[in-house]
Parts: sequence; C-alpha cells; structure tokens
Amino acid sequence: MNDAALVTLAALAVTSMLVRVVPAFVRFPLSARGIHLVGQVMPMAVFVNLAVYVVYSEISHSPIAGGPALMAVAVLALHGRVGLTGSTLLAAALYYLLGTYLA
Amino acid sequence: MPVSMLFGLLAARSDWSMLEILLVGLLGFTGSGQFAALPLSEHGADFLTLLLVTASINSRYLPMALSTVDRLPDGAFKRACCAHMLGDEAYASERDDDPPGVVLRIRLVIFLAWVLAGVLGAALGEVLSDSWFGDDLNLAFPASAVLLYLAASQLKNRIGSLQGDWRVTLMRVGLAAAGASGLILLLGPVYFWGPGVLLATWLLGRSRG
Repeated sequence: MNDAALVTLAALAVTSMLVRVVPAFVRFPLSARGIHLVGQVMPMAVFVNLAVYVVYSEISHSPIAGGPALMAVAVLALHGRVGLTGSTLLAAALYYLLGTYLA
Repeated sequence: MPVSMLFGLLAARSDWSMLEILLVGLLGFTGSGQFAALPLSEHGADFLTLLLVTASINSRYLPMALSTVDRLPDGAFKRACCAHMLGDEAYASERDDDPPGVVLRIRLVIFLAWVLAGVLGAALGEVLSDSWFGDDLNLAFPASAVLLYLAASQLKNRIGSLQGDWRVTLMRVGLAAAGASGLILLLGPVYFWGPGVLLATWLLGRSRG
C-alpha cells in the first residue's frame, strides 16, 4: 500500500470515528454557540477554502479548459437539478473538449 | 451505487490498487469525503489537511449520529460498526421506532452495496486501456469537478444557517474567498489551509447576530 493511500485511509477512518462512532458513545457538553461554530461556521470556512483550492489547482494546470469547466460545475451545483454524477460528466466533457480544441 | 462506482473508477485511474479501494470503502466509508480526499491525496496533502476537509464535509453526520443513538445495538463492537455504517440513505430509510436489528440490517445492506460498487468501478478503471487516454490528459479533473460541486452545494445548503442580512453574508463569503485566494498565492496550496480556515471562520462567525 502506498503512503498517500495509507494517509488518506487513516484520515477517512478517523473522520468516521469523529462524526459517527464517538457520538454513539460520548455526550458532548457544547453550548449552542459552540455547536453552531463547530457544526456550521467552521465547515463553511473549509468549503470556501476547498473551492479556492480546486480553482487554483485546475487554473494553474489548464486555465483555458479549467476555467469554463469549473464555472459550469459551480453553476450546476448551485442550480442543483443535474446532480453530482451528471454535473461531473458534463464538466469533464467540456474540459476535455476545450483542452483538445483550444489548447 | 453509480457514485461509488465513479469513485472506484477515479481511484483506479489514480493508481490506487483494488485492495486500497476496498479498504477505503470498508474503513473510510464517508461518501463525499472519499471524493474530496482523492485529489487532495494526489496533490500531496498531509493527514491534518485531509482530516480537516473530510471531517468538515462529513460533519453533517454529527447531528444524524446524535439523533439515532437510541436505535443502536447494545454491544460495544456492534454499536461501533452500526454507527460507522450510518449514511444519508440509511438515515432517510430508518424510522424512530425501528429496533436495533432492523437498523443494523438497513445500514449493512447499503454499506456493502457502496463498498462493492466501488470495487466494481475500480475493476472497470483497470480494464480501460491506457491508450484511450493521451499523455497530456488531466485525469484528476473529474475528481476536482466533484470536489467543487460538493463545496458549492454545501455552501448553498449551509448559507442560510448564518443569521443576518443575506447580502452581508454573501459579502463575508466573498471576503473569505478573497482572503483564501491571497493566502494560497502567498503560502502555496499546502500551507494556506490552516490560516485560510481560521480567517474564514472568523469572517463567517462574525455574521451571526
């Protein structure tokens, strides 16, 4: 097993422990403000950073294909009717088409 | 199942072995968390970054887990396994008055379907010939697209939880994104995470009340 896969597996297993297994055994004495901060604000902060990270990574790799394709994914996600798999397939098709004909 | 197959396919195309994909399905069963971890792992993200992202994406399970504690079996091992197999579909399928045995069966069936579909997707990924893909083809793009879709969907669903004027909230999200962009340019894509999340938490947390 390679190191990257091992680290990923560990992170995912610990995630499952934290969000599902530990709450089955332990009661958390968090205030309403604490629950709001941990359960809502902090995840939103992570998602903002995640979106920036993805855009940065793909634009660095291929701005001509990555920009429009990621824009399409974001619009489809906010629209919400196409779903995860359909949006991914559409965006990937757009990405590879733009990469083939415009790059 | 198609989503899990897509994960298996993408992981196989990223050179993950069948065993690694099987283990991630069994021990790291986190659905969208698995998709998020794949490109991050490819880009060399460390354990804490991966944990931060996957725990945030899967934080929705926390209230689900807390609200279903009374349905779990009594034995510690069964209880832990049953809690680990909690997913969106299982949560939607279960009823408050379901006995622990029924809850365990519901979760086990959905869990095994997810794991097996991932392995099936991996087998498909290994069957596809490398000659179908050119040398310059960025095979990580679909995983990035999944990641952005998840981030945008989660932001859309959660933005209402921040109280106050929605225009001010949107402005704070924009400021958080601008701050994260500045930090990623300044510190690079590995070291911006900690300061970026702290800055965004401070900006978004201020919008309450």
